Amino acid sequence: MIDKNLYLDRNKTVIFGIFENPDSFLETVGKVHSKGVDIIDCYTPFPIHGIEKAMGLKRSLLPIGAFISGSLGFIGAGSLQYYTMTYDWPIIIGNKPSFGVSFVPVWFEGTILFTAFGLALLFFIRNKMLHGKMPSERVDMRQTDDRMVVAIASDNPAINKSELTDMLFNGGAVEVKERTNHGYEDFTDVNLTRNN
Amino acid sequence: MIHDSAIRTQLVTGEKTLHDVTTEICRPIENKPSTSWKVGFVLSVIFLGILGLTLAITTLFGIGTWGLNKTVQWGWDITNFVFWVGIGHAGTLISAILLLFRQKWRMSINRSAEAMTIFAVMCAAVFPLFHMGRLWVGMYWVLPLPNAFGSLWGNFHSPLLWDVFAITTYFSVSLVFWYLGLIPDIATVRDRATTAGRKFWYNFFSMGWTGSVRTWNRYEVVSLILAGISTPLVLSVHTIVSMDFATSVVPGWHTTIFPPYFVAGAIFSGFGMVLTLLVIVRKVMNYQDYITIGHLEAMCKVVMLTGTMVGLAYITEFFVAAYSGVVYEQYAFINRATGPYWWAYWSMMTCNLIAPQVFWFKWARTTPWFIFMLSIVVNVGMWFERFVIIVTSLHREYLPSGWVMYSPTIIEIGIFVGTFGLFFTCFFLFSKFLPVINMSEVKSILKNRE
Amino acid sequence: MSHGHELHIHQENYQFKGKAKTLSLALLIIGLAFSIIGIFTIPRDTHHDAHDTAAKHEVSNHKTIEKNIHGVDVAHSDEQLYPIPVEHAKPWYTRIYMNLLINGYFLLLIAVCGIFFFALQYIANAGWASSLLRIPQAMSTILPIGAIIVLAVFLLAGQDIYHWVHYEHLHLVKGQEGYDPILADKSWFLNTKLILIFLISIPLVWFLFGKYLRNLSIKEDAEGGLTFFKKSIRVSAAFTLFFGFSISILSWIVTMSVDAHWYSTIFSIYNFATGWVSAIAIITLFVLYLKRNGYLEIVSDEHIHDLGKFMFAFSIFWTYLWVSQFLLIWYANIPEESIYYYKRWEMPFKINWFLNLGLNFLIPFLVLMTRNNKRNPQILTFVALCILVGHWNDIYLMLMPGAIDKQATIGFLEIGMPLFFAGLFMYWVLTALSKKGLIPVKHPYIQESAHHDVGV
Repeated sequence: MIDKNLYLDRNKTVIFGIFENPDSFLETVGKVHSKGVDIIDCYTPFPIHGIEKAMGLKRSLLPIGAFISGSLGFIGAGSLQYYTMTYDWPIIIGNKPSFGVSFVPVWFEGTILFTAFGLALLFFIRNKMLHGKMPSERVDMRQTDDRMVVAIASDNPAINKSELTDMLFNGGAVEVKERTNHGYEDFTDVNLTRNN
Repeated sequence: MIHDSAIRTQLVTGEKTLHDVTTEICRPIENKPSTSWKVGFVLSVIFLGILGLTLAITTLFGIGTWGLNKTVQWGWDITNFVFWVGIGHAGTLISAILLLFRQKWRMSINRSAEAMTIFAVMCAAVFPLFHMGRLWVGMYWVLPLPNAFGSLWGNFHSPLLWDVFAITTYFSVSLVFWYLGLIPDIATVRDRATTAGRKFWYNFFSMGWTGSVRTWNRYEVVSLILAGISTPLVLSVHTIVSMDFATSVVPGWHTTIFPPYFVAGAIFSGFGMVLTLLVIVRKVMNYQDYITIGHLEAMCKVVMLTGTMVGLAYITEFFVAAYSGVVYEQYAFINRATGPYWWAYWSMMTCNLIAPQVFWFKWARTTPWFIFMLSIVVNVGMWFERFVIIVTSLHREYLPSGWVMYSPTIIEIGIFVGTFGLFFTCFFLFSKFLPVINMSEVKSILKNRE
Repeated sequence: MSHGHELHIHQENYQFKGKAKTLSLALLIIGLAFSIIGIFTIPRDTHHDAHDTAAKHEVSNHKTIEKNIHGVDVAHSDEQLYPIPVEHAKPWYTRIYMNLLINGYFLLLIAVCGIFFFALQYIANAGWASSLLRIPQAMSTILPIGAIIVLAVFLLAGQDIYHWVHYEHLHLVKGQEGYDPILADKSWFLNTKLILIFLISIPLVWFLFGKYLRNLSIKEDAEGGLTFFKKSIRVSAAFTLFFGFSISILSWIVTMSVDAHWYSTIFSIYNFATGWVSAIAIITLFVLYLKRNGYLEIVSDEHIHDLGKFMFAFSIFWTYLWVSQFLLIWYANIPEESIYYYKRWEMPFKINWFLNLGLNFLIPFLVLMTRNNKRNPQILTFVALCILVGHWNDIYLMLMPGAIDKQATIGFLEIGMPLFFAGLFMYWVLTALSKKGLIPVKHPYIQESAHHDVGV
């Protein structure tokens, strides 16, 4: 069953290979990718170690975002303390300088707070995640349970459709289906059966 | 490529398949609650009622109801505050530090431990929040808000204000970390949902999660960074709590080992509480295959290790007090061990240093009922530790005119008892509405994955 | 998640020759030459012998201190209870012994933290590092050298270095001029007999533990099976327990008692952190060196990345302890305590003070923050060297101000001696490494280590 609100590139027809065994899934994805076939995406119920390499995914740039938001926190916490305690209304306690070591803890906490929140926010933005949003791609309702799905464009220069289907079946796919493009609403869902 | 040695014990037993994991962990969410759950929940809510009542009395009549005309002042309340904050630390330790160290046994316990962290910090927050009296006025003291009292701001030189920032940061970062970890599992529940209510709410909180590998990839990067920053965070929180005491010049408080010693104590007490909860959870919810004896054993080892570290800190403190040549310092420690509160001191020593040493024996580490008993001992011991530090130091401070014996008021006791109500109410709700075990992580460590 | 592919693990035999041998010998010779030049350039004190006049100097002249600690009346309040030790010139050769002590103690710390490193891998049931266990095992063999130097310095120059040893020999009683109630009060612990027992027995037990664990691991190579592994876990647990308590005692004796009036409860943990992060830096350097020379086939970038993470994390851990100690003492501002930092904030130590934070915190923290840097051998080598210099400086800063204060300076001797010891360390450890197989081939977790992958 394909959910109604697919959002993968609507101008492409997509082949989905549905697997039950993560090891053979990983192996097949790697094989398909090494043939030069572009893999649109995979859907798995749990993080499969090594799949990002098998798919040829680049490392996420989120750490840079975390660094930037952390730096903002560092500047923010520092300037808050500087403004309130050193510039605006210095309080002298125990003959301590009005800008000193006692700012370290809050400075640290502010940096951590901004890093964590900034990172989480960037993560949600990057994945286009929002509370209440309908899941965009549910090829199989069990893809969050025990099925793994690989999505591949069917008009691939590197491989023809039947070869690809064979490859998926031989790799251990329990089901292979194709979503053809007939506009947003009226797509069709074709179950491809084994032909060998 | 991950390779696990054949001699490692299986982390999940019972030859589970991926689907088994989903069904078994979603079971409590999808079925009607059991009688034992209902009974436990009602009991917790009754205790929560006590909390509500005592806090209402505090707010109505003022914090005089806390018996503050004694020189030990908030002895009881600060004790409870530190006790609860300490308990919180195990959750972050399990989810962050054990993630960094790639200890895979964390996977079936991190969800509940993190939940415990959040609830424990909530319980802890009750004490400092309500000690401000009418807290809506007190907010100006702790938050840097522009206010009508001139340009006076909160005092950033004060360890108490550091604490406000530390605890709020800790609470919110833990919450974010916990929620991020929950999203894939909430999506699983969503995709299995049969009722309209579940469909709506789990959809709402799953934020459109599909399990896309691109998302997973970012998710793992985010988890790792969050773990990386939570680790110094969790250290900093109890460090700052310890500095509430250690920056002052009270004998027995002003000692430089306090930061790491409090952190070790916090992890120790937190693991005590995790064990208390999980020994019950695995039995009642029938999760013996996920939270195996191996898990309990690993946690017992951590308890033994941190207990010994705490013991080392006790001995270091005692030794250095003797070594210091400072009579006040020496008196503070002699008074702890032989003064009017000797029973508290020796309870602490017995519960925290001596009792966990039984975990050197394999039998003790692998017998659930025994572990449960010992985890209670650890909880009690760690409560006494804070009591010893706070009350014995304050009841014999520099001025003999301030020397008293301390006892809490009935309202204070009510609040402490009530916080257990808050804690367990939250935990019961959690065990009913959210997957108690992190399904997606557990699935990644199954041996048999057909 | 067993992925089947068992790698065949080859035993490797390291040959100690070529550039490494030349470098270690060169370091030994240059270090020795520098040390000799350094010894001859120490200004000789001709006017008196410190031992004879010490009693007179013991009578505190508080004036300078009074002026220096702002607003705190040290001299007048509790003059009887808390006399501040006033520096008297130490004999010129004390600086030589001090240098020996700094380097010997550093060596001892690194060696014992080497033992702790592999003990930790056993008790934590960790697999990733099993392929590089031979390096810390080889490091542990140099422990006796460090221990003997520390012991020898204590025996030969204890009076000059340790204020309390000197005081002990004066046999003063209450009421006599120069009587120090604080030191008298500490004599139950700070007395030569007890200290000697600790100084001999603790490193001896460490050494025996290290030797035993190393032998177990080497026997495992030949015989295989799980018996050695299981025994190692038990012995490691016992060692760890002993280590926790004994390193505390040793750090109180060797470093904390130099400032005999001063005390800090965190000090033992701080000492451990110094040794621990240095040991990790050294392990990293050895791994990188062996890797460059074609050894350690199964050790990959992943292991190096993890070692980089360790250096990063434990540098922050060290900083955490540093800040905890400093902040609490700074905040409470009790004169007896803050004198410790006060001394180190003055010249000639002010530079070292900043160097300490720069080399041990800022550089590892800023440089090792990114993933790529943790996997880059050149950058890691640079940071590891910074950490080593930094922690040598840390120990310098722990010991020198309390012992010879203003007589301390960084000269030929302070540069030559560490070079000499670095050469000695290289020569000794690489020789030890070349004598046994380089890979614990029969370690039960060796396959895990060979397949190690740090993930995202």
